[in-house]
Amino acid sequence: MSSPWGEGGAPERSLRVGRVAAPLRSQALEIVRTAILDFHYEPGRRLFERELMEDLGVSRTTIREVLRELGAEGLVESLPQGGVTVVTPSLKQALEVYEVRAALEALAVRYFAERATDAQVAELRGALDVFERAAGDGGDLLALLRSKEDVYDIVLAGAANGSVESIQKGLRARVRALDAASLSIPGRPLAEVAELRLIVQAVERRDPDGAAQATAGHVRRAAEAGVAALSGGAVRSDIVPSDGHPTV
Amino acid sequence: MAIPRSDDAPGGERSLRVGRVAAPLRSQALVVLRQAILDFHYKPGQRLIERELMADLGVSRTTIREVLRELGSEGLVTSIPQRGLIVASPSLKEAREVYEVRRALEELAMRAFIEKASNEQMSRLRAALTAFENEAGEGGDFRALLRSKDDAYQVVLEGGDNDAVRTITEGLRARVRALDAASLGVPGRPAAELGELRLIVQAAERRDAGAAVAAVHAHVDAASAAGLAALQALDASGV
Repeated sequence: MSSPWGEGGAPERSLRVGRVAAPLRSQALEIVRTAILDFHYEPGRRLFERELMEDLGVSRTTIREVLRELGAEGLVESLPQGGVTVVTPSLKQALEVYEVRAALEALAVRYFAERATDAQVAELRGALDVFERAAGDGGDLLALLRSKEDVYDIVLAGAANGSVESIQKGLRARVRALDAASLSIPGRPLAEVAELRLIVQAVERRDPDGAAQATAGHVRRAAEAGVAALSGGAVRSDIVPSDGHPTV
Repeated sequence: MAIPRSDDAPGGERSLRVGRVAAPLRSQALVVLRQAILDFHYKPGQRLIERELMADLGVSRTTIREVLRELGSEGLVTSIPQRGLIVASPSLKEAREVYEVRRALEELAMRAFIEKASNEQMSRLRAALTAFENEAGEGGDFRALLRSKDDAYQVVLEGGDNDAVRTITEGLRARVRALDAASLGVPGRPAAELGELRLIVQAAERRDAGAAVAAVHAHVDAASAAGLAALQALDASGV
């Protein structure tokens, strides 16, 4: 395989690190992080150093550094008896994360309404249309999740605050399984489209207060849905089938 | 603020030497070095030399490297081409961004505190304010002043009982701590800050979320203006 992971040419399931100039450690980190976020390594799964060394083709030292970094990001946690697992947030932790996300997403949308260029607003509208189509045709959950994250990414870029952006992306990673669970509830994707449309409309009116309010409401409802799904046990069994590839 | 190296500080308080107890050396070294940066033992912009850190902390080069990497991910240490690692000193843009986020998070933290804090936690907040008051006047101890402010934050973040808010707020505070300290060094600022903090604590004691949040906003706005002015002064002096 000549093409490294970063250029989109690698087969989706290969985790092998390409021999390019970037430090192996950064490449390996990115690959394992993506594998966790895409549920290739699902919540609760134990990660073995030897297995990762084989999957990625890198040394034990590199794997240890990667796991330590992912621990700092809150994506994996150490087990008392040694080894690490992919984090499954408790209900309390998930609610805490959503509370912060609601406040910061509202802040980001407020700044977006104030600061975004007209081109960025148009881009946001376009991303919402993509999400709406994905929600309408009941396509695969990961694609749906990604198109929603594209909407958020545009907001974070236009808000022009690097701190909000990095915090939000970190928090999102920690509850991604819950976001997926929330979107897997029948009717929820279309409800999200309607909620997001209210936000985009307020942004188009350049109404920061209205946009922030709509955003806080949206994140709260997404949290409620996610928690309902979590309490129903949907996260582990329904969302993440045994091959690690979630489907609706 | 020249601080003696560990070997000329018999009092022990300033020694950076890592104690030989059960906790992994790496975690201990991390805590010690982080605190040394936050206390300006190592100042913003100062180069961090591995060999010196090994001597100061009494741990191996491997441990120092791991600790520096961790502090890098916390934003406290940054690498500069030609100069190696230095203690981070935020740009004006970063500092402004951090204050914008703090405004939202501290509002969240205060709402949670008012909703959930026990009476005992409320008294601890009052005690932290009293300590701040004692050090804010003429002849007060600057470090004790900073510490009393840390105590106030710690009580609020614990009482609010939201780990995500707590860890993020602590991380953001660490990134602009040098600025907070510099702004508290401006004549008149400790007294002004005392007035702002008092309004927050009084509203919290009445469990009046609206007034407390307004007071928190006013405080972060004032601290932000003072911190950004301090940063501009720091930049102008070419540190």
